[in-house]
Amino acid sequence: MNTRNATLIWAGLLLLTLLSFSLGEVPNPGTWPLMVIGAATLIKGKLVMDYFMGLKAVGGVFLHVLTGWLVLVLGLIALAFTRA
Amino acid sequence: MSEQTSRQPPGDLAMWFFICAELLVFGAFFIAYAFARAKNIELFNSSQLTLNRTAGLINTAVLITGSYFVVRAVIAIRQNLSSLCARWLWAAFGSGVVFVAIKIVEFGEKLSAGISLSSNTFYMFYLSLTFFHFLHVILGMVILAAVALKAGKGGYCSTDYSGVETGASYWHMVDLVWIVLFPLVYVLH
Repeated sequence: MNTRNATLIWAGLLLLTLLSFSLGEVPNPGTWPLMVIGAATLIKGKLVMDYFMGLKAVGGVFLHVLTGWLVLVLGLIALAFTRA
Repeated sequence: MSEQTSRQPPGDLAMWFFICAELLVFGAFFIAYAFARAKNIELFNSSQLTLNRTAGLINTAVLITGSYFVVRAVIAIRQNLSSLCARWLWAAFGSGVVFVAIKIVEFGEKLSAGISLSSNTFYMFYLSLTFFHFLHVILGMVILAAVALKAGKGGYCSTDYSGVETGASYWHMVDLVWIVLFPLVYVLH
C-alpha cells in the first residue's frame, strides 16, 4: 500500500458512504436501494480488510474468515429485510 | 509475490484471533437486530426516525478518516519515519476523540428524552449495539495512544514495527464494524 492508493481508497469509502446515506433518505425505498446500500457496504468492508488491514497482500486464512464473516452477515441481513 | 506466500497477517497473531472473536459477537448482534426488525417493522422504522442520521454520517466519515490516518502511520514507519508515524497515530487518536464526543451528545439526547434500554426493542438494540461499539472505540484509542507514545520515543523502526501493525489492525476492526452498523441501524428502513 502506498500513499496514493491509500488516499484513493479513503476517498472511495467516503463516496460510498455518501451514496448509502443519500439512498437512505428516500422515503419508502423499494428493494433496489436496499440492495445498492448492501452492495456499497460489502465493497467498503472489502476495501478496509483487503487494503487498510493489508490482508489481500498476505492472503491466508484470516482474509477468508473476515470475508466470509462480511458476506454471511450482510447476506442474512438482506434476507431479513427482503422477507419482512 | 513474496508477500503473497507469507500468509502471516500484519501485526501480532493473537490480535487476529481477538478480532475474529469480536467480529463474531458483533455479527450475532447485527443478525439478531435484522430478524427482530422483521417482526416489528413499524416500531423499528418509527423509532429509527428519532436518530440523528447526520451525526451517524459524520461519525462514519470520522472513523474512515481515522483508519486512513492509521494506514499513513504504517506507511511512515515502513520508511523508518518514527516521528511522522507518531503524528499520524495521534491524528487517528484525534478522530477517536471526535467520534466519542459526537456519540456522547447522541447518547445524552436520548437519555434526556427519557429513552432507555427498556423503552422498546429498537432502542434496546440501538443503545446496546452503539454503546458496545463505543467501548471498542475507547479501547482502540488507548491502544493508539500507547503505540503513538512508543513511536514518538523511537520505539519502532522499519525492521521492527509489529506493534504499529497490531494497533492498526484493531482500529481497522473498529472501523469495519461501524461500516456495517451505520447502514443497518441508521440508514436501512
